[in-house]
Amino acid sequence: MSKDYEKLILNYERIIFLSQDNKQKNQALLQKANVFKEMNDFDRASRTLERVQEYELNEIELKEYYYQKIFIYYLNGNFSKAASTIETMYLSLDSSSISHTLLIQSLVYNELNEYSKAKQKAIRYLEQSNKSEIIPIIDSIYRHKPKLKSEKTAKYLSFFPGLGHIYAGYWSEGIVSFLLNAGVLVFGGYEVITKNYVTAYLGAGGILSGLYFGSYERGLHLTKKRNYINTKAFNSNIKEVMLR
Amino acid sequence: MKPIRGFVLYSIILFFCLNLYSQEKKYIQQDYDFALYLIGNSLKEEAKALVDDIDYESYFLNSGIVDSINFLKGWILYSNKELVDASAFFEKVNQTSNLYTKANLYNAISNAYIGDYKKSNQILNSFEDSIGQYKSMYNLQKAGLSLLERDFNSYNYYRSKFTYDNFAISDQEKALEEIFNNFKSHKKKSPYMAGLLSSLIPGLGKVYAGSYGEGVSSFLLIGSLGAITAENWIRNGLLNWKTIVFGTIGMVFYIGNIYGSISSVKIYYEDYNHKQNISILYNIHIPLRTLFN
Repeated sequence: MSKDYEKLILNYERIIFLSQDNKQKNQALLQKANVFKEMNDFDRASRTLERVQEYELNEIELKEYYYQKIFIYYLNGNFSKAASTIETMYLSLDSSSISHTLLIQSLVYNELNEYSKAKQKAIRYLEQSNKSEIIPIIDSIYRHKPKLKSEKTAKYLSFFPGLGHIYAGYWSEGIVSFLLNAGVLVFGGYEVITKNYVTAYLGAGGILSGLYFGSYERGLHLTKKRNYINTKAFNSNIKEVMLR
Repeated sequence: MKPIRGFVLYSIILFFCLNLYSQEKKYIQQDYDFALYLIGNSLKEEAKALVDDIDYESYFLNSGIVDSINFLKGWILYSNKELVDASAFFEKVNQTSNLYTKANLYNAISNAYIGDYKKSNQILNSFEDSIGQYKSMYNLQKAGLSLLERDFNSYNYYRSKFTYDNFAISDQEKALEEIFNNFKSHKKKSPYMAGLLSSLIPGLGKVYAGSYGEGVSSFLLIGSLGAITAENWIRNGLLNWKTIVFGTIGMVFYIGNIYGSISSVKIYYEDYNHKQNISILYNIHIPLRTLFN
């Protein structure tokens, strides 16, 4: 099957190579991108669409082109490029003519955590597709947006070993981190009191610096992880409801 | 009338065959141009698909077309860095073909890239007599292979044939000369010396091997562990738990540091040789692109 696809791709590229007509080249590029989409090769699909000469497309072709581009960027995980394509689309086309892209726009803005924009697009989409009964559900989901932890706050809290972990919701790891740091500090203090200065400063000091900075970085990492998990769960929920 | 009719019929058939043959030749040229376009635009997967797509049965099976197809396939695979497969197609190009010399030069360098220097030399030796206008390219490749094999006598022999006046290869001749001088002036490092230095002063062996940062880190770490062990031994005795723990950890790192220093020299040589080989291969590959692309 994949050999057949590769042959098809090659033939489209041959048309692009041989053709002197930009319209024909654009058609071949769009078809080629579709084949990549069928193969789930979204990276090659997006690179192919980027070769299309937009100024040669008429309005109908442009609508379809932008929709495909946004969709493929979304499937490829390239949400910022998808968002920038949405903005370009609104500059080039009348908003009433691109209502078929509202669903994908909503999903893109969700992934970028731009929830107010995403909600607006979602509601407009549901109104236009006669699914108004789902609007209250969407409204209620968006009222419980994920509360993202502030990375700046995590940064300051992590100065105290374990506090960054606890702020991110990882209590046990935070407590363990605190106990380890405290234990080494106590050990170092004890060595100073018993006048074992080399052991205190080189030994305990060396271990403590490793533990402390490691704990600091871990606190920041866990905060980002928590935000990612919460956002992913929220977006999956929205996607499931929107695609009913 | 009959002879005239026969003559007209014969002319029509001849015209038809010539036209078909020249269309066929144009088609091959189109595939060449298309392959150049794909490689130039980094469409590697499409280029690979073209290799599978070009099929011998589409053409009249005369050896000229077959050799052109084999060379084209080899060249596409070479550009895609699929060198083993490329070599297989280059080998199929017939001795009588006008692409034979080019195919052998590409084949030789493909095998040099794979690391099969013996085969590369065999390929070059096999067509030395028919090299013709590409003599200086041949000398460059032989010189490059000699450097890859670290056979400096053989390199000197081929270096003596460099002319430095061929625009396509003069820079590469100078580059190989520089690489050779680098080999000559390169100071050899002994792994055992590195081990000995590290046993006397932790980290010194790594500095000797060129890993300055690692050497300083090793010194500080092992030095600190040593100092802690010494302090506890003096103050609390040999059987104190801190003496045993820090002493054991220190000893492990100390032995590791000696082993690491010996390995550092080996790694250093591997890196050095690898970089030189990449540079040699690059310099014998570039003229092929300049002259033949």
